[in-house]
Amino acid sequence: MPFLEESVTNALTPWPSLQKKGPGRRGLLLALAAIFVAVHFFLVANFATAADHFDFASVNRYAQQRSVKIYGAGGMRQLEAYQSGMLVSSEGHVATAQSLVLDQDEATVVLGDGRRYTGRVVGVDLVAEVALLKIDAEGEELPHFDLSRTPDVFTGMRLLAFSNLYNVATGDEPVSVLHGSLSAIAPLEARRGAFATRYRGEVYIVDAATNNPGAAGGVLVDLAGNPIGMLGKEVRSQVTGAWLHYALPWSQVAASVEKIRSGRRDPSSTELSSTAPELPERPATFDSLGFHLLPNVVPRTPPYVDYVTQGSLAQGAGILPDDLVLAIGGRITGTRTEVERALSHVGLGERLLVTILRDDQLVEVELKPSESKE
Amino acid sequence: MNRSQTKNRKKTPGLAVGLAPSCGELARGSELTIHDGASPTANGGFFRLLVVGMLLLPGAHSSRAQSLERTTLEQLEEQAFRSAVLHAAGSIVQLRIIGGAERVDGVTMAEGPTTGVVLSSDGYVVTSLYRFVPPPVTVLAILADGKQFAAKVVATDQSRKLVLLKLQNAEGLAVTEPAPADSYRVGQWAIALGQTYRADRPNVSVGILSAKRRIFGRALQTDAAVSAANYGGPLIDIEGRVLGILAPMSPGSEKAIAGVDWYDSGIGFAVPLEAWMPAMERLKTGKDLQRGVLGVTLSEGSPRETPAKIKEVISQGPAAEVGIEVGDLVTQINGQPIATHNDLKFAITPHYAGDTLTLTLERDGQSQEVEVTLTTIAHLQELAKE
Amino acid sequence: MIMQRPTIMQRTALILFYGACLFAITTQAAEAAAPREVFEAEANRIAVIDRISQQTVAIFDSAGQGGGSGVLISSDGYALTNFHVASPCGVAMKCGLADGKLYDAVLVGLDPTGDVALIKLLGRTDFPAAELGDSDAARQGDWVLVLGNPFLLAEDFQPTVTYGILSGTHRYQYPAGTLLEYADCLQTDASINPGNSGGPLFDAEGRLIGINGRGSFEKRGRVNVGVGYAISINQIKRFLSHLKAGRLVDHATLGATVASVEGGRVVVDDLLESSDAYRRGLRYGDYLVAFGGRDLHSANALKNVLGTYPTGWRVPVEFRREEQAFRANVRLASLHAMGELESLIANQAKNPTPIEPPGPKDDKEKKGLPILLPKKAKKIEMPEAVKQVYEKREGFANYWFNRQYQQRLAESCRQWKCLDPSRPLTLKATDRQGESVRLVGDEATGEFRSQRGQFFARFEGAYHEEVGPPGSGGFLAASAEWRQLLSHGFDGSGEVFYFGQLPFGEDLELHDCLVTFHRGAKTHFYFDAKRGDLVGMELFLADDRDPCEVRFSDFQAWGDGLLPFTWHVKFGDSTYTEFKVDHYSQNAQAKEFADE
Repeated sequence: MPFLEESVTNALTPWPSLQKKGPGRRGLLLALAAIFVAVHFFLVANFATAADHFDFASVNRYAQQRSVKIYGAGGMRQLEAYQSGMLVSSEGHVATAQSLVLDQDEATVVLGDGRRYTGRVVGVDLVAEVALLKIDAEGEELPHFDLSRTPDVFTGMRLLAFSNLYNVATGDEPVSVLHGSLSAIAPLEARRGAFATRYRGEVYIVDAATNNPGAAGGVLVDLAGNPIGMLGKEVRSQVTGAWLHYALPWSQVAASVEKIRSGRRDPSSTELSSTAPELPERPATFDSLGFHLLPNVVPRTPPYVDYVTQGSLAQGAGILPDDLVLAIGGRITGTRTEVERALSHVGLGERLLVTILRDDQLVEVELKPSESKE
Repeated sequence: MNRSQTKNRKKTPGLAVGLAPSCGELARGSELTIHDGASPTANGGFFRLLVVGMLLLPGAHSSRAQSLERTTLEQLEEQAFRSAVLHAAGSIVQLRIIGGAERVDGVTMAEGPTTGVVLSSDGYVVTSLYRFVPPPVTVLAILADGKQFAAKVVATDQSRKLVLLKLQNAEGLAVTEPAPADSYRVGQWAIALGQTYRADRPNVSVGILSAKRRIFGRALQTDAAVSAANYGGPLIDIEGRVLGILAPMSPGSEKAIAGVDWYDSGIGFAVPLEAWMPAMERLKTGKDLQRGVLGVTLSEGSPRETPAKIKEVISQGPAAEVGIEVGDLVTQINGQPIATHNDLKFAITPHYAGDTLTLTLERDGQSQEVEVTLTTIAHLQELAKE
Repeated sequence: MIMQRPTIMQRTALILFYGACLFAITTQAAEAAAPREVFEAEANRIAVIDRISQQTVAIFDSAGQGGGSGVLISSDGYALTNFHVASPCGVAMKCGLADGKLYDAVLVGLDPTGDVALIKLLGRTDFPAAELGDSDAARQGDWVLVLGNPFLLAEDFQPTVTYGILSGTHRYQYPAGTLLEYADCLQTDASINPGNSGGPLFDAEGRLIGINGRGSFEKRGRVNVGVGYAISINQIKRFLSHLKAGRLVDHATLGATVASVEGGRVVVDDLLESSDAYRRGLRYGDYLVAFGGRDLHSANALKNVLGTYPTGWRVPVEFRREEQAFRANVRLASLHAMGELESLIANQAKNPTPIEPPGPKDDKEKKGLPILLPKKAKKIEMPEAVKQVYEKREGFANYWFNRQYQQRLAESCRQWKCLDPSRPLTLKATDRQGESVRLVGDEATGEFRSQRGQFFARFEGAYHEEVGPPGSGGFLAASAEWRQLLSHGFDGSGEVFYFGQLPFGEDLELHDCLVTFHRGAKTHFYFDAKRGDLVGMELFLADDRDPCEVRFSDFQAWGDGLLPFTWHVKFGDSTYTEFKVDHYSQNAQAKEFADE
């Protein structure tokens, strides 16, 4: 629902919260009215809060008091032995990125005021790669970021990233702060290899170099100091080939922390609602549809139709050899691999819209399997 | 806490706190209400306080009553960026590249789509050369509203690393608005947009205009993040007008995708759009544009100091054809004074092969003017072989 | 559980609803597209950039191969850059300004430890100069502007401008060996790339707050990663007069090492007994509380602030022992031994790192190394304009400038050469106890008589370490050096150079300091920075001993000049004597008083 989300965010309202209170089929009008009021009040509230606390000294102090530096294992294979984190509970829970730094199940946590504690790893959300540490603050109420907050997020919004990148901030020094804008809200598509990630959900892509060594686990905040997300690891984007600077959305951080705190540490239980859409058990195949593509001869072989089976659905729909398959079921297909991936989303026997390029013209054809065929 | 003593504490409207308890926590946090007495950051800090009207509140509501609120310049700017992006977004297209190389010049190309900008309502779109070397099998253009078009390459501007595309059967497209060239100011907001991560809205990177005449007069420079995420996309001003088209350019190399070395550097380049519009008209004829050359070499020396004295004239080249000789000193090009090698480079490099320039030469103390029509490097290389 | 997706109908309704909201808001936003404040702020920034662009320098070596950036700080052409930019250029370099012109420039001063160099652009007296700001007033999050010549892009000499915030203040970046230490520096996310080195970091109002010189680079190749460092302008301000003196300047050491202990305290865990800190009362196990007005909570904090001081500087230090608090003005010693800096520089010049184009490189890049070491310039004939303002001398970057300052001191000092070198000087005075004091001296002898007794010295070769009177630190030698300077000026034997400004006196006010080496002793002469009078001196008979310090005041006309009529002689923390002069005389009969 990307388009929806943009509309919502443009209306300055947090979509996730609305999603949860999503309008029922019958109460739509009522819900609309309620949402409108909510939208408006949120605006008022948001600006009013902002008005009181928008000078940087305050926002900086607010975020610094809640940011921590984490020192642990590492130092091998040229990996850093340090990273960043943030306090997320008054009793000393620290959220950070899961990494080798935490391999010893213990790490040194340095608070914004320079106090040092030993942090014990409470648990890890392996999918979101979020780890939760706990320090013993001896009954002291620690300042922390509010996990229940549902921040207002929109493309182009201004952001501040707090982290101990390059371990610049030693001792009791405040961590580094970088400014930037939210470049995009998009799925995390990292290049495979040394810097692979498991998480495939939507992330916040930032236009500043926020993801430097040691920055993972740092906090991304908006102009008022509201937490927006947790800085991710160093990865290269599959989409652009460039280093990807991103943060895990706050709602995901909150969900992961909640999951860990509730003791559900089994990776199988940490499925992400936002990631994998449900795939059909029996997807459509080239054989079932009746057209075949050129084999993958070069890495980016265009999806040209090689041949069409006599009497097949494809032939019935008018697909011809040399047609270029540009979309299947609304999914853009630039390569044979992408066609295969698109087909995996289509159930065997489902209706299927195929966009093809023939003589510089885009042509849409519909493959309609009859019940009997199945 | 001694809140009352803090100098620049702003009054929180009771209404706001009451209605938004989740924000109240932040509001009530004492650490947030104690300000530095002197507040030196009020001048130059990230968050300057300004007293402004609540312009962005839905006007239909009666809450105008709270017309005067304190908000920050940064927040107003954030809203201005948003408006600027909205203004430009309608004329940005996502380009899906079908086929094309995986690696070019030893660099792994991005797998995602690239970006284009609509220049005419009937479907002329400019994009960058990135992903067009070698030319792809075909290109699918997707508009923000979801409409799709097959796109054909019309011609390429090799000098500025731009490609002109034509969307087949397009009409009534939203056309981009170029910013007037005389409005460019170093230090103005410059927002780089791409349509790479998703088709329905642009990805945004905010920066400023860093310099105006880079790569010998062919590019604007910005510190907004420029990469494959927005090559071919627009660099816009705070009003949403297009300053330039982001391109994979590099001062050190004329290679097709030389710019990839500059990712993350805070140095990005864009071809100024308004001045490029005539070049677009030339590309419409289907002929590629190449950087123009004179067919001479200059005497050795420091590029920033040594006068532009001709050391060699390539025979049958443009300079030779009009009688330029070894030892001639170039003193003017199109009326602009030329004092050094670099001056000459600045005067010639922005021109294309086929352009005609007026050179003023000094020979034996005598000044004379010649008209020279520039040619391509490839042509010069052919001549050299003969 | 998978969340239930809205139906098509719900989606459509929502789209319509939010579309309407969006429309309402964006129409509003479009009307208010950019509020006046936004345009005004943008226009202000453009105006500031327009001004500071004129002050920014694109530096190229003589061969036009390498270079970096710089910034003008005075209308007569002094400009700051990095040591690592200026050093490979040698004595002469070319500087491009935004006016499109290329100027000859000459090396003036070098600070290899702090990675700072001072150069002077030639040919104008009306260069646009930057206003120096206060880097200690800069705060994390302040907007800043970086100008410079990254990758030598400024072929038309127009600087590259990048915008960002201060990511950190009072940062510390380790040196390479003992050189290129970035102490108490500023960290910014405004993009800084190779070639930005030596260029200015401005605050939002266009005041110079730092000199960019370094970035954290790792696996990204040698390009910006949002982590650049600038030397604070407040550090440079302390060194500026020393650099203007054409010197190769050195940083300082306290002579003590410290460790962080519980409760954010800093304890002295080692101490040289020969250090001034020891002589001022600091002892092993004491807690350092503040240094130079900066509270200390960690050992790193001391290292950080110490790195910003020149050698010879006196710094107020606060420390505690048990419940007792102490405060002392401690003189810092040189970080490097004599001649050590020269050899370090020479070694570095042999192995300059070439400029690298940007781009993905392997992982071998070391983090935090300086941004740009241009190729060593080919031997190129020095331009005539540069030759005229250059003089080579060991220990100096350019002795010509030192000579200029010496001349200026001599011209403005009203005590200069006001004594007749051929005649002995006799001074008759009354001390605070009302007792009479007499000081007599000529080229070879000195005599001091007071209630404490009568002391006599004959000067042959080096001063004896125990030259009297006892407890004065060598007042007979000091007064002889004073008489020497006032009689002969620079024509006296021995080495002389202008040091720059140093804090002197009770209030640690800055004074112009002239250093002489004569008869084996080093003497600091302090001149009032405004009026030029010689108001004090320190004579060092040995490195590990307090000097004999004399403060001069109450200047009155005498002959053609002006002489001090109050002398205050100190040794260490105690006053040896303080007297008011009744009269000076230079009669031929040298021993007039002595024989009385």
